[in-house]
Amino acid sequence: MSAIAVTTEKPPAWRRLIGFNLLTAIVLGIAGYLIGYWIGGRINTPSTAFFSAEAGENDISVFLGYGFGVIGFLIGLGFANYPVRRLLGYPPTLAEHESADEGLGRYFRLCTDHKVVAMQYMIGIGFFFAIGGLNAMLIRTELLNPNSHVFGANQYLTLVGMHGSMMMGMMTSSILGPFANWLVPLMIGSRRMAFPRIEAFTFWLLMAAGVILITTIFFGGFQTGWTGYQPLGSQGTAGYDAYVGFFALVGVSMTLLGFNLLATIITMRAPGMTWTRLPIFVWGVVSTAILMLLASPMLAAALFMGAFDRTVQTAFFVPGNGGSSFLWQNLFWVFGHPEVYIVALPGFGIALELLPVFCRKPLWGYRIAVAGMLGVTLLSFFVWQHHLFVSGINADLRPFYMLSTELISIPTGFIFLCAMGTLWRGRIRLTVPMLFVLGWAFNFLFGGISGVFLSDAPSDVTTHGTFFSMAHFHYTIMGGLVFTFFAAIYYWIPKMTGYKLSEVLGKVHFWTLFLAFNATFGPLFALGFMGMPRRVVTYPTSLQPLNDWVTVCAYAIALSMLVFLYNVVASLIFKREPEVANPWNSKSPEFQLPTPVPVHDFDRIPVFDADPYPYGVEPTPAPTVAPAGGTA
Amino acid sequence: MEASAPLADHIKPEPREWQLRALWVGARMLCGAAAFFFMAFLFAYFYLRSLDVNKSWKIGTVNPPTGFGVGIVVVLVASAVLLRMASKRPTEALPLGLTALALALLSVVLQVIAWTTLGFGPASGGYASVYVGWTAWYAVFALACVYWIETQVASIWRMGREGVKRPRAEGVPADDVELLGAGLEACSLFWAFYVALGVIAWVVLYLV
Repeated sequence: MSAIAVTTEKPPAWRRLIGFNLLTAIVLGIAGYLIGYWIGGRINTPSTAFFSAEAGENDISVFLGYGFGVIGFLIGLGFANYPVRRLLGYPPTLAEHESADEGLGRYFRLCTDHKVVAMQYMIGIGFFFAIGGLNAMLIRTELLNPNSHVFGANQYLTLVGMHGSMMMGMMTSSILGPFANWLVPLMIGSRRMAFPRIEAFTFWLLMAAGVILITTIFFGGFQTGWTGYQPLGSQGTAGYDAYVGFFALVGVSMTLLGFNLLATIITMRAPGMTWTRLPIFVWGVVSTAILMLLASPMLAAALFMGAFDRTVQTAFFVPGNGGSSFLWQNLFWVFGHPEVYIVALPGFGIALELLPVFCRKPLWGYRIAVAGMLGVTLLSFFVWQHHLFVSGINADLRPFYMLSTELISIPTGFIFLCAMGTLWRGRIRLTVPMLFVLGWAFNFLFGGISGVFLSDAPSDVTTHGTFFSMAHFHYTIMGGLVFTFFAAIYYWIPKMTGYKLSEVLGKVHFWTLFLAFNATFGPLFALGFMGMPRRVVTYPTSLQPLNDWVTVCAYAIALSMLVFLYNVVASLIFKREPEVANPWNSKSPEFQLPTPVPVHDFDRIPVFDADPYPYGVEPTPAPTVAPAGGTA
Repeated sequence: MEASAPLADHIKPEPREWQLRALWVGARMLCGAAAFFFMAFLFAYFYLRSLDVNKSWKIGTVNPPTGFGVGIVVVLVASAVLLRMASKRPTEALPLGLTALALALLSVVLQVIAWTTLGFGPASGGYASVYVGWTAWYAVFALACVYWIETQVASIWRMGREGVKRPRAEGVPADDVELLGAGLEACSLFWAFYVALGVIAWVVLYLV
């Protein structure tokens, strides 16, 4: 891998617009969609699929449109160039345009610098996170009144489905995409990911997926929620095709992201970076990547089956022709439950990574924490049937899945124990990232405990399908993932960008989010116990006061996010205040490098000769890292 | 990193074995991902067969074309064996590689012909759905493998033609021959595993 750019004269702006970049990609993507749609129309007009014939839709056209559109989009970005060269027998190369002097342009095209891809992920996922959040606001607006509706029932269900799919599909990569891509090479002493083109590919594929999901609104939406349950899916309009296309691409993207991260960590650790010296965040990435690599293909396969049902008229999920809707439930949740841990584990990694820094003491129980993460990874493949407790599964199966689900709380408890052990007698600094980590601990405790009720078959029967279940997973996912996501942002963004974020606005963001979050989702437990069903546009009038309270608090969450957005825009664009190389006095390798980190990361591959968390140990050694351009 | 930029003098290259190890590990992880992908179809087969909803596991006469099935499996196994043999001597593997490539492509062609001779449609029950879905996605990924094999064969061909004049791999400190060997080993390993998945599919769809 060569490392630095040769400065050349910049071509004029109009010339830079022509070539392999986002603009070309969008043009080719639209052209590809139209061509695919047209070909589909020649193959079959209109579709005679089982339930959509009356709608006069052509699912083949829609799927071919999406397929060709994505291919055109990727070609426009330049993803076909290297494969064609390899087809002609030219040698493999890691060289790609990553020149730092290209400025903002490199963020709008194929770039294989892991730091650029990470920032692309940050912006891209942030955009879709905002859309998912906007959907949530619309859902809560609808629920202000049980009888007077802002949206129709179908629109409401589409909003619920889009919110869930957007959050569960895109946000799975919210930590691995930006933070693992940026941090893993620096933390293990590598200059790059093992397969840099695949790294870039996962990002752009995810962006294409997000756009496909949004197009569902042009085809009547989908009424299945993020779980895409059958036979509702088969009966749905072409809007369901968007759901299938979206999640299939997300599945492929997740598989490749996990594959690449795992390959990098296994093969590209610098000398001295043994498995027992691996930063705990990297262990979180390892366990998540294993789940992504193995669980996501099952999702992709299930979605391909669904696509076949709607196009070539197989009957995987059509009971009348030998299929079964329960097959979908099984396949979906074989992926779906590990997915919960795909979302949670990186959050655990971030929390445990940050705690030693702000407690100024070594991570308590490093090996216990690693065992906990790997234990969660293993057990998460054996719990999926608890999602089917009320779907008429064989009663004899229930005890096993109840037990396996309850067992998973033990390794999860390990991780929580390590967090508490690290806090114990630490010299705690209540910085903004630390506040978010503490918020995570508080929220996840409630999320975890309420999960035990749902793993228990008798109590699950009464709470499944109610707002109790929804409150539980928002406490684990939003309370767990989103809080650690923000902790990571406040902790690493100054390093990634070289500019400070406002501490005051950060604290305002934390306290408003923490209070509003608990005021929103805490009452949902009560609403669930009172029988408020999920995915129903109306509810008993007696539940309106509590629902109104929840809606107002949800708006407060949105306001809190606006504070964050203002902080980011003001601090990083308008009031740029340069940040020092190691603002938190961290011992972590990435903070031993200058800010901003050079394109080639290290002058030479570093040698690690110390454990990752030597806080409070006298003298305090930091890992030996040879940064580019001198010491930090 | 810039395509045309040399490594600056004060910047040391990464260890040469990293890329080779990445290929070795990557191929094995891909095997895991492929196994889980097709496990979904295996699950679907036994799940739908055991449920036999409305006695619709097979609607009417549903028999897969045995001759084609056997032919496809034989061709696949031969291709995998030849490619594995080729990986042992990468610089002299052009004939073996080419034959393996041709056989891999032939397996897909045979599968396409087999679909045209089916005596049943995709909607002819649970079995028919699994048969069509499983074989279709197997063929799609087999085509991707054909591409991978082709890149290896083309590399062998170009290396043989250009010899030492061949442009060096940019950004990869490993030797060209080492890279070729590692790439071929990874490709042949994955292809052999993929063919093994095909044999399992054949046993399940044709024999069970």
